[in-house]
Amino acid sequence: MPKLITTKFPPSSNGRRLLFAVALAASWLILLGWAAGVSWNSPLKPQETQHFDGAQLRIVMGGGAEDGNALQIGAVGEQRTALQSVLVTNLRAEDNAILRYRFDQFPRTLELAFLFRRSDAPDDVHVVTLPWPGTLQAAFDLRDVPEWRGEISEIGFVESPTPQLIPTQTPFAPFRIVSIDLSSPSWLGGLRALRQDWFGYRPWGLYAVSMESAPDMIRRPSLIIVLSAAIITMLAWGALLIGWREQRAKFMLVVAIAFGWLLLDATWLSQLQKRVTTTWQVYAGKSWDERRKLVPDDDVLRAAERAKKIIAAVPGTPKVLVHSGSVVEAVRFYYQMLPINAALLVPVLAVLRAPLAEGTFIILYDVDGWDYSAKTRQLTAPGVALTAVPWLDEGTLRIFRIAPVSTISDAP
Amino acid sequence: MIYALVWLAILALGMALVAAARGVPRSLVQWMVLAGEGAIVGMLAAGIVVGLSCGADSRNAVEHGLPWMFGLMAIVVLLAWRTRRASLVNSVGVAERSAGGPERHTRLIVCFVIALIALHLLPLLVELLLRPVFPWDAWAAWMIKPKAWYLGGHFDAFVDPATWITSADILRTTPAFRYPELSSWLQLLLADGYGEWNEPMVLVPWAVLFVGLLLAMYGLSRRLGSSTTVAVIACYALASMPLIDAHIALAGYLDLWIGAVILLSLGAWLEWRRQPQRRGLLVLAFALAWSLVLLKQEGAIWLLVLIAVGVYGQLGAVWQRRDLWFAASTLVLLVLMVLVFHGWINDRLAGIDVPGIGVLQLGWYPGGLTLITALFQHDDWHLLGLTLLLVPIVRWRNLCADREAQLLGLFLLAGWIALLLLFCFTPAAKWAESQTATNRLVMQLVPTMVLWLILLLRPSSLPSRV
Repeated sequence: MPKLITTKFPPSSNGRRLLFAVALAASWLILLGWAAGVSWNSPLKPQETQHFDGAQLRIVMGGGAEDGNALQIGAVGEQRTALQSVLVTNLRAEDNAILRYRFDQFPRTLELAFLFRRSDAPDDVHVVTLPWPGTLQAAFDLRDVPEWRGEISEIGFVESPTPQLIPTQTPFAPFRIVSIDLSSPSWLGGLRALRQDWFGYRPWGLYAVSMESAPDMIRRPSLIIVLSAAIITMLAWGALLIGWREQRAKFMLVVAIAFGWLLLDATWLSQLQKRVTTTWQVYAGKSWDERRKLVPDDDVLRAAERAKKIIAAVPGTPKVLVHSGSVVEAVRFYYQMLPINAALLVPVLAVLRAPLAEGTFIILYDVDGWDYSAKTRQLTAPGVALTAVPWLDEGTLRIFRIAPVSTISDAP
Repeated sequence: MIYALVWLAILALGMALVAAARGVPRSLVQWMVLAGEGAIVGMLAAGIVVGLSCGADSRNAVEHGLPWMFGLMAIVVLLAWRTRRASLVNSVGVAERSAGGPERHTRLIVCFVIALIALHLLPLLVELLLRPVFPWDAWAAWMIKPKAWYLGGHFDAFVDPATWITSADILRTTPAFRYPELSSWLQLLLADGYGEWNEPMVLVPWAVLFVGLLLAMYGLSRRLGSSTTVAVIACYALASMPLIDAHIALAGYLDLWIGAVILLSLGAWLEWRRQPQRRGLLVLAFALAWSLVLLKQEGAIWLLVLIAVGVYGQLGAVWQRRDLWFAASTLVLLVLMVLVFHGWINDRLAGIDVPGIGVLQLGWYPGGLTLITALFQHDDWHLLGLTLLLVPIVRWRNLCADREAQLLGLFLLAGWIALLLLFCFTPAAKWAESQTATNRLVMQLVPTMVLWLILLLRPSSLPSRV
C-alpha cells in the first residue's frame, strides 16, 4: 500500500476541483438530509417550539419534587418504575415532531421512554423507547412513530431498569428532568435526532448477539450506509469531474475506507465503554456468588432455587416438568434449577402417549389457567387433566406431584 | 491453581498438535501462527479428549482428561521429534522473506493498531469476566449440558422429550438436545478445573478464541504474502467489528468458533497447496474442518463446502471448468424448478419437518435478501460490506491472476449461495426477516472474508495503470 501513496497523480485544474468539491458537498448534504428525514426545502431552524420545564410535569408513579424549573425524581414506584406526565393543549403532532429532552444525572441503569396520549383515543397510552439522554440535550424524531399524529393531549416520561439487562436489585439513583421541547421539523432538529441515533448510548440486549440494533427500536438509516454511500459518491464524482484514474481512485478508496472505519470504530468504542461502565457499576467488586444472583429475572432464580431445594430432598431422581406463562421464563427456570432432571411441560405433553409416571413433579411458575381441585385431585388446564397432589403453593410458584396419592408420602 | 494447569495443558496440547502439523516455528510469524492456532486447536482437542475419556463420571473431568491430554501431547511431541528433519523445513511466505526489521513508520502504524486492538480487548474481558451468562441461546441451549453434567456428576445422555418421559433410564432432555457437544465437554473440563460452576470462568474460552483468531489471522496473512502493516490491519478489522466483539463480551454462542475454524482450515489448506510435501498441513486442515461438525449443526454444511472446494482445487484446469459449469447449471436448474414448480414439489415434500426450519415449504421468500442488506443496515460490520463490494472491483486483475484468492473467493461464493438458498427459498426466511440468525451465520464467513480481502490486497507483480 505505501506504493500507492507515492504514485504521482495527474494534475487536474482548479476549476474542476472546485466543481468536485461543490458536487461532493451537495451529494453529502442530500445524503445527510435523507438520513435525517429532512428535505431540501425544510427550514434550517424550527418554526415553532413548545417548551415545558421539568417542573411542569406531575408525578404519576414514584416520588420526587420540584427543583427550581426542573423536577427531581427521588424514588420509583411499582415494578421499580417512575412515571411523570403533563396535560397539553393545542399540540398538533405533525407540527411538533422533533422531541428534545434534557435530563441531569440520568443513570445508565435506567431505560427512558416517552409516553403520549391522543385526543381521539384518550384511553390508549403510547410508549416509545428513547435513546439514553446523556448529559446534553437529546433529540428524537417522532415522525418515525406511526401513532404520533393528530391532536396530542398528554405527554410524559417513564423510567425503569433496563429490561433484560439490569438486575431489579440495582439501587435507584436520583436524577432531574430539566426540560422538554417539541419543535416543528427542521434541518437542525433532524440532524440533532440523527446525531442521537448514531452516537447515543444503547445498552446491551438479548438481541445484541444477533445484531447491533434492537429489533423493536426505531432507528434512522445507519451511519454505515451513509458512509458507504458517501464514499461511493466521492469516487464517482472524482472519476467524472477530475478524471481520477485507477491508482488515484484506489488511493482515495483506501483513505476513505480507513477514515470511515476509524470513525465507526470510535463510535463503537464509545458505545462499548459506556456498556462496560454500566456492567462495572452493577457487578464490580462482588464475589461470583453475589454476581450470579444479580440477574434481571432474580424472581425466577429465587423460585428455581426454592424448587430445586425441595425436589433435591425427595429420594430418587424424579422427573420434573416445568411450565410458565412465558417460554423464556420456563427455560430460565429450567436452567437455574439444574442439575434437577427437568423438561419443559408443553413439549412433553405434545408427545405424551401414556399417563405421566407417578412421582413426576409438575412445576407451575407464574402461569394462569391451571386450576387444582382438592376434591377430584385433578390439575387442569385447557386440554389437560392430570391426577396430582399439591406439593407446594407459594402463589406464583406451585408444585404438584403425579398421584396415585396412596403411593406418595405426605407433602412438606 | 488447577484451573491454570488446565489452561496450560490446553495450550500446550494445541501447540504440540499444530507444531506436529506445521513444523517447529523458526520465525516470529510462525510462532504467532502456532500460538493462535494452537490455542484454538488445543481447546477443540481438549474438549474431544474429555468427551472420550470421562466415561459416565462427569464430575472429575480434570482427573480423567488431563492424563490423556498430557499423554497425547507426549506422543505428538515424540512423533514431531522423530520427524523433525522434515518439519524443520521452513515455509517462508513472500512477506517473511524481507530482510531486516520493519521501517519506522511501519512500526508506528503497527503499534497504533495494536493499541486499538487492546482498546477493544480490555472492555470485552471486563464484560466477560463480570456478568453471569447473558444471551438467550447460551443459557437456553449451549450451557445446559455442561451445567447438568458438572452439577449432576453423571454423563447423562440428552434425548428427545418422548424418549425422556417414557424411559426408565436416567436420561435428560432439553429443546437443544440435538446440538453437538464439543463446547460442552470443554466447559465441563474448565468447571471442574475451577472447582465450581462459575459462568465467566467456563466462558473464558471465548476470550482465548478471540486472541487466538487475531494471532492466527496475522500469522496466516503474513505467511500468505501480506506485509506486516496489512496483516496487523486485518487483525484490527476483525477485532473492531461490533458483532464479533458482542460475541466475546456476551459469550456463549458458537458462531465465531465456526468462523475461526473455517479460517484456520482454509489457511492450512492454502499453505499445503504451496508445499504439498507437508502432509501435516493437509491433516490439520481436514481435522479442523471435521471439528466443525462437532461444534454446530451447520458445521456439516461448511464441511461439505470445504471438501468440495478442496477437491475442486486439486482438479486440472479442464475439469475445474467442467465442474464450475456443472455446479452453476445445477444451481440455476434447482432455482428455476423451485420458482416454477414449487407447488408441485411442496405437495411431494408435505410433512417433512426440518429441525430449525419447520415444515419444508420451498418457494421464493424475498425476506431472505435481508441477509445482504443487513451488511449495511446495522452497525454490525463497520465498512466490511462496502469493502467486499469495492475491493474485488479495484483488484480485479489481481483476482484473475491469483489462484489462492480465487479458491478462497470460490469458498465464500459457495457459502453465500448456501445461505441465500436457505433464507430465500425455505421457510428459514423467517429467521432472516427477524434477523435473529442471519447476521450470526454471516459471521461464520467473516474471518474468511477478511483473509480474502487481504489476499486481494497483496502486492502484485502486475503492471499498474496510472
